[in-house]
Amino acid sequence: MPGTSVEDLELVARARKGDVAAFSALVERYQARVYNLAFRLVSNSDDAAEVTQESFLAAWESLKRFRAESSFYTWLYRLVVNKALTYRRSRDMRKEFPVGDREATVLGTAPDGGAGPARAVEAKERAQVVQAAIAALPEDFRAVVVLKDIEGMEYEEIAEVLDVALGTVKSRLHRGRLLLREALAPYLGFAPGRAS
Amino acid sequence: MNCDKCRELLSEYIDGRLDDVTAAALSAHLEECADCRRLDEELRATVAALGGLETKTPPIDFSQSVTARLERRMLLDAPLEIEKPRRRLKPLPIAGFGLAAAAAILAALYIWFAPSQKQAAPATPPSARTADELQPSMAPPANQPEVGKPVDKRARRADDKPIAGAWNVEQAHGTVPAAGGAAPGVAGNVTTSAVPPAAQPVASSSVENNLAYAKRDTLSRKDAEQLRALGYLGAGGGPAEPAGSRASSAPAAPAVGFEFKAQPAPAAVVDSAGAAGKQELAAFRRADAPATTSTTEVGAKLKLEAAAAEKAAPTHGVTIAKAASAPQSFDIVSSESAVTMAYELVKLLPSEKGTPLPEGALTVDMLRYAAFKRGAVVEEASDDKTVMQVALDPAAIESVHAALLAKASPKLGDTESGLAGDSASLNERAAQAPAPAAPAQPAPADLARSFSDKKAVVDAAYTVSPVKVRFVFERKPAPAPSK
Repeated sequence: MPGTSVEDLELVARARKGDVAAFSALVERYQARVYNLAFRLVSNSDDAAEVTQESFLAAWESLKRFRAESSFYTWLYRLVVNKALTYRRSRDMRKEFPVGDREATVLGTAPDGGAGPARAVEAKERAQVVQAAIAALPEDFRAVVVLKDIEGMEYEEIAEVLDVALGTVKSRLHRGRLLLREALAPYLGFAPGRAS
Repeated sequence: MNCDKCRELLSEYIDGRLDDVTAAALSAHLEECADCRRLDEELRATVAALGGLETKTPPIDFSQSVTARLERRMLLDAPLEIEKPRRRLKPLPIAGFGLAAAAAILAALYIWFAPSQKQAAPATPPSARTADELQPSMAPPANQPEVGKPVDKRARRADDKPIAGAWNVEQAHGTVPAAGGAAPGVAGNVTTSAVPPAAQPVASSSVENNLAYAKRDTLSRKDAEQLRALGYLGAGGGPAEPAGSRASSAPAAPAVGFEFKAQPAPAAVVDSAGAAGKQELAAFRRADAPATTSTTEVGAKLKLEAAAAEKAAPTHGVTIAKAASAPQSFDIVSSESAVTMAYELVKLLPSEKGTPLPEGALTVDMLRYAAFKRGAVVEEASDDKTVMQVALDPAAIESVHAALLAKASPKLGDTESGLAGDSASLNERAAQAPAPAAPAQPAPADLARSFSDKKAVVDAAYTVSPVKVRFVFERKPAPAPSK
């Protein structure tokens, strides 16, 4: 995970003056990470694309409020997490999450013969189950778990992104993981829970 | 170090966040405690499963589309410099007719609206706010404050700094509650059903701009749908999603709630049946709902429970209960009856993706997961407590409830200690219960084992209202560990 690099700061400075090309460069730099984060928070490719776009647009509009005290990506991540959670709240939750909708294409190209396709299906199912379990987490826990265990952020960075105390990050992460462990128990082959 | 302390610190231990002394103590405890060791292993496997997820990549040309949207916004911020795009596709004849007709209606509405809007400029007029589909930016917008809900952010920005002379009316699916004395067919009596979706008034400048973006493949989904509905874009799309329901990306709900009858409705009633409430109603009525329901009727029957809506918001949106009668609380308190009831009801929820319900031992966690996947409202989900709501057709709820009462007693013999205390009360209640009106699907035979899996006792309860059941599962501390 990068800190705020000199290039970031230069690009931000130019973008603040209205330089769209500089902002586009920032988008290029961060779009993959932002999209992945959004996907893990909203569990759907289309929604993730929408959240990512909206986050960048919001970033453009609020660049003036960005102070270089925090790194650009931390600041950006905060926008993304807020957008994603708001977006999901407003979504009609009766619609089931079509999780893993893109994975089918990727995994469908597995080579023929042998255990390849079977493994691919297994991996796809597992990815779907894991994503569904993430989606079912309460949002406070979900954000922390995704930022830590998928995005690989440090506790302190997560505290900054979510604007919460370090202790809150610790407890939410731990509880989120415990919930995930329970949800995934049948799929990861854990024996019916004893320790909890 | 004891087990409690160990478990509390496990995540930090796994992440290497503990100081050396604490880590050593925890490590020593893990060596001698099999339960904690197992939890450690399982947590590590869980973390590994998350870390093993593939990285999702955005669509190709994603950054270009962001830049294009950005440029579009900037263009909208500079109203006088907007280029006049050429129209690429001819509108369908009906759309042309609709625009002409709509223009006449809008002109009349403008005449009718303009004075009251000037008076009530800072505060949104109740009628306009509640019939939020109607965009009140019909007046030449240069001196018009933003009122009401725009179609989307791009539209709102267009309202903020409008194109001079443009009538930026994005859509008008609903209509205002009628005022008496207005000429028929104009301000006083416009209903959605009278104007087919294809003929909804849309400002031509907006259409043209969108067409320009469509040409550059940078059109948003919502805008594309709108254009398709108007016949500007290629075939294939169904009817456009009513713009008033933009909060959801789900398929358009039935027409419930988007039709406004001409007779005036008390403001409070309309207020209480907001767009979200209408959607909710549409959602759980979709199986057997009549094709249309007037808002007045909805408002009379239902009210939005503001507090519940706020609570449910993180996962679902809103909750509706009948206004006329308070929720009936049967208050059956039994772990088994609650989980069985939940299970049976969850099975009734529509499952678009065929999410299978787990067979065999059903823990509260799995039940919650399945329920959530099927659109139930999970109000609270923690290690110790789960609160969830299932909204269904009242008849289905009553049927399952009655069947459960009737068949609950024979199964109680199988339950373990934690449930035994509940047996007597449930038996009593079951004996008093009337015979079920309709047969329900039998509960899985081993459902009763659910709670024994955890070696913990679960307090469970549910309350039934005409349209929803609310479950509370709360885990009591496990019996003292044997070691």
